[in-house]
Amino acid sequence: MALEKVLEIASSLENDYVKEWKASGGFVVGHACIALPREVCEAGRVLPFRLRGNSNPDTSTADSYLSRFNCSLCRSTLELILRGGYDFLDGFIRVRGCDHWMGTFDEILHARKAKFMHYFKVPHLVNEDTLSLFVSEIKDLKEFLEKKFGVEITEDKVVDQIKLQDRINEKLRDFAKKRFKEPRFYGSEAIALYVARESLPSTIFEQMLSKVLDEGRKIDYRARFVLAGGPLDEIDILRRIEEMGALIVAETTCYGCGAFWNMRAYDGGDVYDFLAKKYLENLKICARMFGEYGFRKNFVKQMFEASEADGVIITYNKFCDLFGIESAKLRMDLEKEGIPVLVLEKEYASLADIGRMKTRVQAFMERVGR
Amino acid sequence: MAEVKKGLILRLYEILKTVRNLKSYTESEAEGLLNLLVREQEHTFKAFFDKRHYGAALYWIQEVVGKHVIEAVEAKEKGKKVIMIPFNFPPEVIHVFENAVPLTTELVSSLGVVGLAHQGEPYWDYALSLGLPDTMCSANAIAIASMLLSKEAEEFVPDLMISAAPGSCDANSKVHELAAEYLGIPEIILDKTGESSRDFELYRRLFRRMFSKLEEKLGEADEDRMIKTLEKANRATELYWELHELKKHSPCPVPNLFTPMSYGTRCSMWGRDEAISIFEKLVEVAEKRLKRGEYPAEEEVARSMWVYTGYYFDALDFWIWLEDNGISYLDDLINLQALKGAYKAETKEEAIDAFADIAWNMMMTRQMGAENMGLRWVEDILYDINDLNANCAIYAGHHACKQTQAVFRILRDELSRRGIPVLRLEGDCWNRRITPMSVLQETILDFVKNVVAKRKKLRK
Repeated sequence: MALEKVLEIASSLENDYVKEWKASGGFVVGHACIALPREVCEAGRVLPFRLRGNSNPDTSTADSYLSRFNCSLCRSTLELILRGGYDFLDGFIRVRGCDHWMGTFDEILHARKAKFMHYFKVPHLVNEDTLSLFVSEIKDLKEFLEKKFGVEITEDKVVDQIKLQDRINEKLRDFAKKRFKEPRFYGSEAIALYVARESLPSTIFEQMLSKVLDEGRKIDYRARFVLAGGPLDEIDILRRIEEMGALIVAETTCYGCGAFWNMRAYDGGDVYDFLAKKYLENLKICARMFGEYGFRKNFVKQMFEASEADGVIITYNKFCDLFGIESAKLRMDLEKEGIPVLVLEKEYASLADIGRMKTRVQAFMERVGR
Repeated sequence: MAEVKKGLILRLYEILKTVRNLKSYTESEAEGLLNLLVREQEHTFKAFFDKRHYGAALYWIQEVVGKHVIEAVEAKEKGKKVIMIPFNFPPEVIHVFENAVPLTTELVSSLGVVGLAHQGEPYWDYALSLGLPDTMCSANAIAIASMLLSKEAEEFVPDLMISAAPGSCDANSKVHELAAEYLGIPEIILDKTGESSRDFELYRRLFRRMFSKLEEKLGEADEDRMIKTLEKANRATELYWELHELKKHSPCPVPNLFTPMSYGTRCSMWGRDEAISIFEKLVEVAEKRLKRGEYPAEEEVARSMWVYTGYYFDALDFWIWLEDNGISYLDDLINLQALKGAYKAETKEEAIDAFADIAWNMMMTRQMGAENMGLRWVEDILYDINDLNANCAIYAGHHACKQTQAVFRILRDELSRRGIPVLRLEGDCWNRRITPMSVLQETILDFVKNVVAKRKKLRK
């Protein structure tokens, strides 16, 4: 079953496909944000593997580098890096995400756990000036990868990869729609699928996705919710919440529909201008982009309406200022429009926290009359 | 929750108006005034009235920060606009406009904490009651929360906000964005993406866009006034470095409180005559103390470098207490500024570019907006430690400061490697509810007695 394979991939770090990719001469780089244009990387046989905590709650060593006041997703990921869980990577692309990730990359360097680290700058604003810088950043990335790995990244190869990503995004939208009115997948399965995308060569993922689309079945539930907020890849935690009947039918997060729903498709023109617009504009789903609150609020509303959900669950990891601060306003605004909202602050992958979270979700289900 | 019927800015305004009217006073008059105050205010006034400052601290409250707040609150009746800025944005950019005044978020929070009964607590609590997380930064959240309160109580609200922290502080940028959205105030946003010439070019363009928008709102800036503002900023910078030079003496003749006063001036009156006047006074007082060999303790045991910032919720039991115990607060990162020296401009265009460069190098933007925050922080702090011959480093460990918390290990390892003892504290620099001053004092004293003093003896 393809879905089982997806769950296995999303619950591990280096998977068989990554091993095969490397064995056949490919390279793998770690990064931490959906702002990285994977088309450029994969056109050079460089697989961008998204760093994640893999539901690891132990951060004991990482806490001596970062601090207890930093995001537990970053600490969890750093812990895995320090313990060698990411030793299969050939290096890192430091994609500028948030302060916590920036500090994490500094500490990876400090702990001498990086063979190399390329800094990929991502503006916090979308306008013609920032787009122009972002175009240059993408071209620099291409040149860096070519030089570092001795590969040639031609425009034709990049266009092929863009078309591949367009197909995948289209299929993912189909997949997402299958979860809306008559849900045929659990939210935890969907998240696993999105995580798998960030952990596999895209050609493999496309094949797997096609098979997964055929594996849907009727799902029982009590209430349907949209998941919003910061990155969430904790499949176990989500599964336990869904076992109570609180089904996640859509997300606006970056391990969710946020990664592809608004992604523009290629319609000709300059490849690098297109990629800059595609990735920077899509990044408006993240609270690290300023002046775009309205976009995010409307996206949540759009997913809520499209999925005919009963409410919105906003989650973020403790110490995340970006989503933590924004969630207060988002809750107020959505509730003003009659959309029930539950805000859940959590520690990454902490199963010790699951009882509290389940109680809150149960109360929320009762609040929305389910 | 304590009293929240009136906003922090308006409450501060009333107090600062009264303080501005204080002229010369006798000791018994000062004593009488202190009796009227609640404990937190009493501590503040005792610290600022202290004789070691020769009246400079009171002058600072009256003519620098007092004026800063009063001008903002009274701006509307004078037909001026108020531009809210964060501490890492140069206020001189606003001072070039005749019909606008800046109001600095973190300065307002700090003044509220030291000047008001219940400090910033009612406003912090109000923010939490709106659902904001308790992990945000009190430095800006206190002032911002007070403005959010304006929807249901009496409080001052600015006309426009500038956000200069994207790229150097998420917490700062986000809370300003929230206030702009919540209150419907227009916000202009800058962005620092890295340190290369390309990054600066983007910053410069965004800065120019910002300046154009300011001109749209405030009218065209006068070239002559811009150049004069820059010259005044240069003069204040010269005096800043004179004061810095005086800190090299041991015992340090520059009172501890002069450091926060220095950056309080930097983020309020820079580019105006008031900044020059206060710095002339600070230098004069420090020179007088040097000449007289004045130092409040028997010996200067610790020449401490505070690697990011200090504590603000008790001026007497922190700044004055440190000095009385032989611990000189030489400097901190927030005060380490103007590293690029003077700026020259002969035209309006050159002046705008100079302001952009100044903003790019402001505290926090420069270090935490770097490609590697840890390394830039180490570089700047090591410069200051060596220049001022500090014999220890202390990190206040402000818990909301996620960027410095994330890379403190890098700083600590590098300083330790160079034989500089480092103390890491934990608390909230603007909120006394987290780590009490007594605990901080005890930890600092332990460190100074057991590590710094012993090493000093060994060196002798």
